[in-house]
Amino acid sequence: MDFILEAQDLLKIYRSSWTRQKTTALDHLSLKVERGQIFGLLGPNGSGKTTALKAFLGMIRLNHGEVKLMGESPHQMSVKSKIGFLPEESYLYKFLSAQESLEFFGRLAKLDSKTLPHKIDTVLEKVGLLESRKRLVKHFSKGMLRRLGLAFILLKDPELIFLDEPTVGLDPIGAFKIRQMMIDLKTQGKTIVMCSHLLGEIENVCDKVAILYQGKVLKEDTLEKILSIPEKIQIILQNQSQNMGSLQKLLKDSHIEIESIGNPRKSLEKAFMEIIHLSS
Amino acid sequence: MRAITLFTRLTFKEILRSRTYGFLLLFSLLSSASGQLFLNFTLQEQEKFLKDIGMASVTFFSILLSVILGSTQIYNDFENKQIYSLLINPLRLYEYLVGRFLGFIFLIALAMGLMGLVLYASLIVQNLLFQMNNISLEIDIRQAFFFSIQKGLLANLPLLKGFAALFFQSILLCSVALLLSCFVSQSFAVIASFLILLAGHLVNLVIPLSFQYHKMLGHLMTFLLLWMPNFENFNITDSVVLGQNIPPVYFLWLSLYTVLGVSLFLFISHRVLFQKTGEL
Repeated sequence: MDFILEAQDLLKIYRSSWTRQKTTALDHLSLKVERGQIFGLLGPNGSGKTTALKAFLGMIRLNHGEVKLMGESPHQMSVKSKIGFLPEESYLYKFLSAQESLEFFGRLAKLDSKTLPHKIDTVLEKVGLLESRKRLVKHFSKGMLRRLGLAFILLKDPELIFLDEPTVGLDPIGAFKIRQMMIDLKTQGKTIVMCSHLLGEIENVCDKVAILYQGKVLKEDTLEKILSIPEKIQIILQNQSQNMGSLQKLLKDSHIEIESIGNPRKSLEKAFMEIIHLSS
Repeated sequence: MRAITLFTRLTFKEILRSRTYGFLLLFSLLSSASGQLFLNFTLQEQEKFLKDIGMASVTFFSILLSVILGSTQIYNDFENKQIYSLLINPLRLYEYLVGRFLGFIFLIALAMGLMGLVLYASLIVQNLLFQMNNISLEIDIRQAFFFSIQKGLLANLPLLKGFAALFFQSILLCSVALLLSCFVSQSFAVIASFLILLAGHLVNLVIPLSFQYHKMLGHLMTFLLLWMPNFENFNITDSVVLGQNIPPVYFLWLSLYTVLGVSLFLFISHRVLFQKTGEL
């Protein structure tokens, strides 16, 4: 298998110098992410999700363990030009406008300066910030900052993207758009590693999930395997009014116990988006 | 080199757009020209007064600016976590550090250049006013103007030596403040920088005095103060205002001393920040 991220036995202990208290943020964590997947790190607050992301990106000094991105150290310049990161908080320079920010980070990422202005306009249009490109970042709302962060990623066009709580603090439409963008990126062949404590978010977009708790991976598998209940079977009927009675009779005659019968449910997000779409 | 230039430009833009720098510059320019308020002396006294006040203002504001720049900018990048957005790109920490520091140098140079212009303009205006008021009512204005340029600007060109020494001092002090900000909070770094500046000006005085008191104390003070930059080396303002000759070789030595000091402090800062970011 082609693994784009390999983390082996990561140990990170934070130590307070005054009280000498130790906190184990990552407790011998090991993970492998396949190329082209959307991989979710799921866990409650303080479970080590963000620390794990920082460890993958080489932004913290580990007590033990090794991370390889695309088979190399995350500190390699060749690797750095192929990865993108959307942090939970906006770490942008507030005195720059959206366009200036993208120009600065585009140049920092060593993108071609001739095509950069055109690319900037394209990504700003894609994230819906073209009109606000001259506005200073300090006047941006949280949703706009998130979209600008995504614009950086689209501009850099990396192979591997790390997203830290990508939809936190966004309204349902903003969150939906970001999730849609993630799915689009996946179809382009990008790999996404995201962390979130929102179960619905992980469920909607991820192929594979690792559940973290107290710095440890408690479970790691495909979403399908984690969510399916092997001892129960769900049957979805195409034409319910015609088939319901005969199916019930058939099951009863075969002495098959029925737990519940009802209409399948769509997610609240899907229902919300449909209602909004209809009204607009 | 591209990344260094990017950070130099970013620093320049950031500070020029900040109100703090604007107010600081405004006050420094007003202060440089404030000698004009005291004009009830003879021409020589007025000129000496203007030079004294002007150079004192330049000294004070260049110190203030270099301490503020050195102790706040890089500290803020780490505190506000902008460094994460930066280091995700193909960028070496030293490029960031050198780029930022070059930005500081240009800003100090700009501020000192403007203060110098104001000081020279004050000296020219003061000469012009003196001639118009005291020499003759029918004086040729062109002649008076050229005479004022001669007396105010050309005759005072040696003041530039004082500016050069203050510039070198500011750069060295800025690197000290930067180093301190790697260890402690920015307010503490500001205070500690001023204390080191003070101690650095007292090195030449304290060591001989302590030797006079007791040999052991002398050795102890030498040991304690030897590592400290000797800021007294840059204190040539009085000699310059009094018209004493400073040999060019002294400036060569001063520049070498500054370059060595700055390189050492930046190197240590780099190592400390290197540990902080986890870069290997």
